[in-house]
Amino acid sequence: MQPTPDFEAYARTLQRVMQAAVDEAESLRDQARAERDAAHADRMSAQDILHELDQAGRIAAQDYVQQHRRELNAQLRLELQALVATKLLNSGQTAAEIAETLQVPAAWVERVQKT
Amino acid sequence: MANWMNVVNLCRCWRDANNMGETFYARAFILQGVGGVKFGRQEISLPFRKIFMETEPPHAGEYAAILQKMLTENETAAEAVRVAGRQDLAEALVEREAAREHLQGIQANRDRYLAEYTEQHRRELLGQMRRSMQETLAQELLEAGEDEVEALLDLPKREIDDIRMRIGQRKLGKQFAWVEYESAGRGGYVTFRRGKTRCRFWHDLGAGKALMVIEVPDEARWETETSIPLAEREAVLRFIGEDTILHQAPGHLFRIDSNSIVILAPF
Repeated sequence: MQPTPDFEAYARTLQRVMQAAVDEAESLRDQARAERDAAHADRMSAQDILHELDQAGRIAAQDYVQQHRRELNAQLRLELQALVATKLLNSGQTAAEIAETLQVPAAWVERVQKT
Repeated sequence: MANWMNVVNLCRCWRDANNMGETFYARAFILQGVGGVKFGRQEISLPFRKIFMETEPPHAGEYAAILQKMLTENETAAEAVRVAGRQDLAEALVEREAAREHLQGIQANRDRYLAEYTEQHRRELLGQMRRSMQETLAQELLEAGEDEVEALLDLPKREIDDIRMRIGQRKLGKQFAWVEYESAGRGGYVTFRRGKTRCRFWHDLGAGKALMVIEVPDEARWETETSIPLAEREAVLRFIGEDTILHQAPGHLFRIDSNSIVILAPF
């Protein structure tokens, strides 16, 4: 008759092998977590810097517009009036009619027409 | 029976292993004399019924073969656990590196980012100013009698309609019309506007129930003085009367006579 296998010894072996694997996996998982935390911190830092630069850019743009509001408005008005004048010229209106509508000198409309 | 007890103990060991970690679990179960053992996703069936029911235990060599198979599969499962851990760490390292590079890229290019943000906000503000200027010009063009303002300034019809409402333009036939008021002492002028048409009528204070009298050409002189077809006279005078009540004398009434519009007190 063959001896009965030592089941307890088999069980201990199974447990030991698996415990070692789990220990290693948990250690790897902890390292992975630390790396992910560090990545998250880097992303947060990047976001903070971008936000700060965005705010600085907003203020710089507001300052610029504030300082040049008059010229910018005049430029926009001229640009839009030229656009309207061109469309009205294309629709057949005369420079004099357009000048009256836009309240601008006829010579200016004629210049638009030439360009 | 001794063999059976050993199998039960073995199962207990595996059951205890269930709590060892998140990624691996071992589970043993015995149910109504039928048993099995599960490692991870792999299940190994043991002939528990046979062990339990038979009076004679199976040959010990059979147990050895079964348990050897378990050992092999256990090692495979353990390796799978390690591989999964290494894979997870590798992915985390890639993620970290990407985040680090992104941060370093921003730190190294602060000036460029600042210039881009400044330009972006400048464009937004200029866009708002342009929009505002378009509305100003739209109003000026509408007041100058232009009909195609949407197309001229590329503005939505809804916005043009809002401006028209704000400056009191309403539909009269196929065109928009409006009335302008000027005071000059006891009286003043009421100007009817439609497109390029502009008709100016004198108005004076009334007497009695009449609050105000707007002098208009009679039918005979209408077309000569207004350049508006006689067929439209009634509609134009009604429009002026309604507008005057709306903007100058709320709650009053009006009456159209042969050469005037009379604004009347309600009682």
